Amino acid sequence: MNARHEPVDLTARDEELLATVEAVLAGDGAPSHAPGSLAALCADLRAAAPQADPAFRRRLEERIVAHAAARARPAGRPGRGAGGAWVRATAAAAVVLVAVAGAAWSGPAVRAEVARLACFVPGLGIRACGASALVMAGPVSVERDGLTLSVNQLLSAGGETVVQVEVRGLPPPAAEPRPAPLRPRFELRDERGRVYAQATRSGGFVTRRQDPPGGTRWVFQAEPSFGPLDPDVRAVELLLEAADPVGSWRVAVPLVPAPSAGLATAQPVTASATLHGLTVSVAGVVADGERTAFALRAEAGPGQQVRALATEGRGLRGVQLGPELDPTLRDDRGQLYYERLSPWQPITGAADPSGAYAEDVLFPPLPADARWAELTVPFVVVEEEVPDAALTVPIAAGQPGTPVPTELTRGPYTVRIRGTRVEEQDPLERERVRRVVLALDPGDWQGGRKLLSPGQALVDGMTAPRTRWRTGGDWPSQVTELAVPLPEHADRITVRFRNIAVAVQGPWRLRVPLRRGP
Amino acid sequence: MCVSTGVGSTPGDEADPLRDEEERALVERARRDPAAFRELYAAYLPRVYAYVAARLEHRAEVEDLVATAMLRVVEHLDAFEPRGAGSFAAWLFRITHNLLSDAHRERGRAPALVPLDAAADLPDAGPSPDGAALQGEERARLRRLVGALPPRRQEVVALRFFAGLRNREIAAVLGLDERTVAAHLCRGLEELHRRYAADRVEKETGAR
Repeated sequence: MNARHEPVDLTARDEELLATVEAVLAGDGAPSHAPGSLAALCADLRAAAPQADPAFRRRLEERIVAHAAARARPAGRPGRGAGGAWVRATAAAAVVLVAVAGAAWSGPAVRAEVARLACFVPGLGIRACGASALVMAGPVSVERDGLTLSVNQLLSAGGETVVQVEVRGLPPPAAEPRPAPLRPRFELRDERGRVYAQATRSGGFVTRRQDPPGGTRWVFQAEPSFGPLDPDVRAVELLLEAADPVGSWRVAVPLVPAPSAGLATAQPVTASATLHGLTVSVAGVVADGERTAFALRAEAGPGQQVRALATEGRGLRGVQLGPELDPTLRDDRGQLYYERLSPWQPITGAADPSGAYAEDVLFPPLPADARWAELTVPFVVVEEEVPDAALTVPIAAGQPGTPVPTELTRGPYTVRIRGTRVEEQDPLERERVRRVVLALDPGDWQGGRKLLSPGQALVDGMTAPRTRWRTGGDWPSQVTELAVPLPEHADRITVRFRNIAVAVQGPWRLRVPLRRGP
Repeated sequence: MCVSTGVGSTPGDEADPLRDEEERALVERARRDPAAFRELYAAYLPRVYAYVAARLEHRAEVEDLVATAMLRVVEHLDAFEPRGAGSFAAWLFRITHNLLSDAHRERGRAPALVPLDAAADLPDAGPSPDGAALQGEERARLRRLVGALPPRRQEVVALRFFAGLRNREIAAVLGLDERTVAAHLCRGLEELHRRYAADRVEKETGAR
């Protein structure tokens, strides 16, 4: 951080006062202070520190610990890797809609028991569904004042409970004045009155959905998660509190044990392909009359972590980029199928703490008599460890100068800084945030590898909120601009880059035997 | 009398090896063991809450922002790099400070501390160990007076007295020089002292 030097004139009296402050705050047996003295004021100030309501402290503590546990949990529904968000932001560069959370099923232990424990849960993908798992008996909707709240899915398994909820019929958000944040809060209450606090912030958002024929609807979507439900619970009440226009809701959700819910079970598969030191494998497949779904895993060697499997076209929702960029499936008669995305399917999967990567891919149903299919993954995005590199941009009169250095070495790649500028506002944002923009030339393919991002950008050693990556060029897209918030009065900005994101060209082809479900 | 004090440390920024070692060990444990977050939470939640409550108006806003800050700490703990004494506290409060700045910017106005009505509504730290038996009303009055200080002084006083940060840590949070922090703290306390005394006289006079 650049310390800002302002005029300082400390007097002996100041030094004395600072020592008094120190003594009072240390509570080191200072004598009682004369009423009306500065020391008494300091003691009064110390006593006036606001305190949190005990109930809030307890609620938040449970959320925090559950969130930490979810991030560290190796099986079930893994949290996203701490260091990978910037890679995924790059890998999902073509995203139009942003998914709210990863829905991948993962974990070596779960993988080993896929036949017995995994099911295809609509909207969530291939998920653990053992004897203690609960799923909603069917979609639930309630209407009020022209709005409809629907609970589309609820699954309690693998140490957590995930709920997919939406509110339809919202008015279009006004451009001005800017709508107040919705600040959604969720809570689950079972039929015995036990309350399950939200474990992770839902990331709920309002989005526009095109509904045929020709209609546009504004919808609030969220996917909050909670702790696991007791296995004998058969109904919960979901509470949603949010600012207008979403408002507050309560809805009862009947539950059934997952094994009796008629979910398609996953068939265990052993199919893998290794290329460039990266192994892509299929852990399970669900093939029935409605879909063909694969639970994929990808693992890399030391110094690398897989962060995405050919995600480039996913945000386009139905726009096919071609077999060079989309995961594809070919049946035993040669028929080609492109990946199919549900509105809830995440753009990318998730990484577990061991570095393995898990993701589901979904295709249309295959002919009933198909005996095998070949899955093709055209490229894999990995995060690679390389030495950090830093550059400093001088700021004079609010404008950036020439960075030092003008080229960054990122492992075997060289990134040239083409220029700098200041922008007052991101064109995609309504809020004004002043940023320094670095225009980057990351180079082209080199031996089947392409640098997608020069790395996680750290400003003053920390991830800077409101940093923006912008991508361009031929797909898979590369970061061509990095925009970093510009603090007021800064006379320079130092950006350090950690690790890199690289697209590795395949394809990985996996021949998967099929055993059709009901 | 104005005395030149040269360049050096100021009271309030001395390292506390025990505290820093405990902090470092706690953070390391929390990186590996999610259960250790309970300790981290217990250690920092009161300080984060006190700081945020001094800078936002409504309890719901305070609780929402505190929750966001603590969840962000969980999310980004792996990215935290220890950089010497007090660096975790500085990191945590910088996250909180940035969220507060965002919140104030969202509402399109300059940061303001707790107004009278809301200040009276907040619980406080209870009886002072020094025996300064302030009643709740008095404490709310004091918080209101802190809110009337110039913004930078408000921030420094809140971080020092409510968040319990040392001057060095406050400097890291706000991007200021340590001695500048010390100067803001002194000027803020002196101003607060004057206003507190005047307010008390006014109150007593009005009560007659």
